Amino acid sequence: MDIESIVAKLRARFGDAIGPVEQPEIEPIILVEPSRLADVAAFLRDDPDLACDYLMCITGLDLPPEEPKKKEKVPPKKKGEDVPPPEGPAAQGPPPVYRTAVVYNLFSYRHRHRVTLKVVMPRDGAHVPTVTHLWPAVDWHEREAYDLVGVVFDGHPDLRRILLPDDWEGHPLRKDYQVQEFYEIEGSTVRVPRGW
Amino acid sequence: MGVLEQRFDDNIITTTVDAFIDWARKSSIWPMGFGLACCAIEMMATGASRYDLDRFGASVFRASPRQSDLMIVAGTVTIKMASRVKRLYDQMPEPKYVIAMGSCATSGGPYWQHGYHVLKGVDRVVPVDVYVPGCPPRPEALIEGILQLQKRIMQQRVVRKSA
Amino acid sequence: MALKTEEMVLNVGPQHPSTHGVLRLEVVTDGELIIEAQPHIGYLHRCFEKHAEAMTWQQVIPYTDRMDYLASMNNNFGYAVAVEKLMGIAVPERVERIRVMMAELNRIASHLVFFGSYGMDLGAGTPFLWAFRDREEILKVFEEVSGARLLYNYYRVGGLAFDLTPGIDRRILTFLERDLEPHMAELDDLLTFNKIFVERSASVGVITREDAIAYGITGPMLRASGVDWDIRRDEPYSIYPKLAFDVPVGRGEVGTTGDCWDRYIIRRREVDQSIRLVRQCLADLPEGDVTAAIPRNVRPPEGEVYVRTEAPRGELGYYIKSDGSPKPFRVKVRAPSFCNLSILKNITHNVLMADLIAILGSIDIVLGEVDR
Repeated sequence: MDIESIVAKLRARFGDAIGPVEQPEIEPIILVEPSRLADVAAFLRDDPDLACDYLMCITGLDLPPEEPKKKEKVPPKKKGEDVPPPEGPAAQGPPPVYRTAVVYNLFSYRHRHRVTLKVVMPRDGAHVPTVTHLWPAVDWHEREAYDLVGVVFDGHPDLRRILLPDDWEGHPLRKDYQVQEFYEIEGSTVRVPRGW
Repeated sequence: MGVLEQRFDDNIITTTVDAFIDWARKSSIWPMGFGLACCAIEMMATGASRYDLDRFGASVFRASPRQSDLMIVAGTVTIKMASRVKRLYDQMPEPKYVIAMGSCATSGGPYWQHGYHVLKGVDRVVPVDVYVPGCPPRPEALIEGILQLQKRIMQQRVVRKSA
Repeated sequence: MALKTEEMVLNVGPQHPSTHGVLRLEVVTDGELIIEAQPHIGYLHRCFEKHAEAMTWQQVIPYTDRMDYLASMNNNFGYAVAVEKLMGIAVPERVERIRVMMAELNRIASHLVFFGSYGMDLGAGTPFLWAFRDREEILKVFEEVSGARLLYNYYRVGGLAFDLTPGIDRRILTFLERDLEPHMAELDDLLTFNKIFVERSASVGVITREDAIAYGITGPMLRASGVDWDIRRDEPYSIYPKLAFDVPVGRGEVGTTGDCWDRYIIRRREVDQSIRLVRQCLADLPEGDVTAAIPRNVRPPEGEVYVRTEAPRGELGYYIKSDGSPKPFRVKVRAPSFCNLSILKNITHNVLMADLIAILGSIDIVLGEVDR
């Protein structure tokens, strides 16, 4: 099935939960409302025309913040007059809102078609329902996305860090990640970053 | 050597005894297979048919640290793995030696700059005797490292008092 | 009088002679029977994805080498194909042929390591030395072409780093005909239908077809379970559509479909197919400059793609997101060993300890890929 018919079928069933299709000329990505993801995924797997029985990859993305709104215009300095710079929130503009995205690449062995889903949400409190009950392969993929990007998957049977030690601080693939300075190893501390 | 260790002054008998003990030790270094990453494959190739490590006496790769003299840290040591490296080093009986094989074990390797989880050199947790550079080092380079270690062993003072 | 037994929790690894790297298995055993084997990974997490965001597009290639370090050419291949898809570059035919030839030679080398280490896991010491002898010849070819024995950094986005050296095609063909094929026949005599080998691997660790698809298993493991799917034939890239090769599928010849022996024999037959492919690539190699299509500045347009290629261990997928800058925004690697390993917990209920090692060996994982 080609991507238009897949999107039409999804829209017919889920309506507003299916957002626009990004970059259709390179590789179409269907935006999905985060809270409805599990239902959309279940439909994609169980419907006989779609039959996406194989989840290839789950990618967690830490997207840059959206462009901040323009700051208030500072009036030009008149000659001989001291104009104090504006302080407070008016000078900085609103704080940047980091967003997190999770991309699901699905494939169907029966029909040989691919479907790519994407959910986007603000980084603080990023929650996505899990799809572990649909494809057992997803277990470790979701744990890795949680470990490296910090997305919490609701309903995951065992959501803990998989690649990093359990007591690691922070989620490394975030764009503003700073590595911790020290780590405890068997009673002694080891310096983590390079140099002395 | 227990009670005999480092007790005697230098004379012709103790020097010969030392030379004999050092020769015995260097000719039968038993490594502990501690292959972590890509350098492990080159270590396996060094022990395999073409670059035979058995001719130097060092090919009996023991699985257990309690039975080995040499720990060849071959590959990247990550922070998660570092505690195990230290523990295994502590479990080895004296005399024990460490070869840091490859640039990752020496100083973090290609991951030195942005590797948040990579230990920048295994000498942050265990003392190292010989560093073998390379990414991965050729089997000949590893053999050179083992020969350098053998040279160092020959210089050790076992029954003689330390200088 | 009934014996009172208790379950014991045993740690296999991270340092263990047969775990193929730093993998830790937390095994709950009741005597010799395993009740549960839980893999713990992350002991070789080398932050590939963070490095990919800090280096330029061409500088990422040495880091891709080091993930599946037994098949560096295939890792490079997947990355180069993905970035070229995003940029819309078409590479000359000579480059494509050399790329496929190097990838297939590396597949043979990787499978040779599998035969050696799998034999060693099950107690056979000789196949290891024989397999490494042939592997050294292949590494000689790679060293001549790219300068390195194990981690080649040979492919570039848009071409290759160096061209083939004169006379190497003759040397490769002589090696295949005079050395590799007879030695693989000798290895067959030694291992393939050896009674002990068959006893230890037939009907052990059976993965059914449905389980294989649901758990995201790919590569020789998937074909061993009876699914006829090979990315080189079914979703082809590079010049694979022009080349003729068969895809071996497991049929349960000496046991059940999807057991360890099937996984072994699929890889053994893939070596024969790879030899065929190398000969075809060398047959009509056109002239040309391999660096002609390499762009001066690699700056793909904004976009995201997911491209998958067939690595010796399975489907190697690169999910690449570009925001138009000289450095990638995100490179995510879907490593085949990562997904193949996740099934281990489910196929090791009520197996013996020795079977656990046989099953783990037959999955053929490389920890550099699992942890990236």
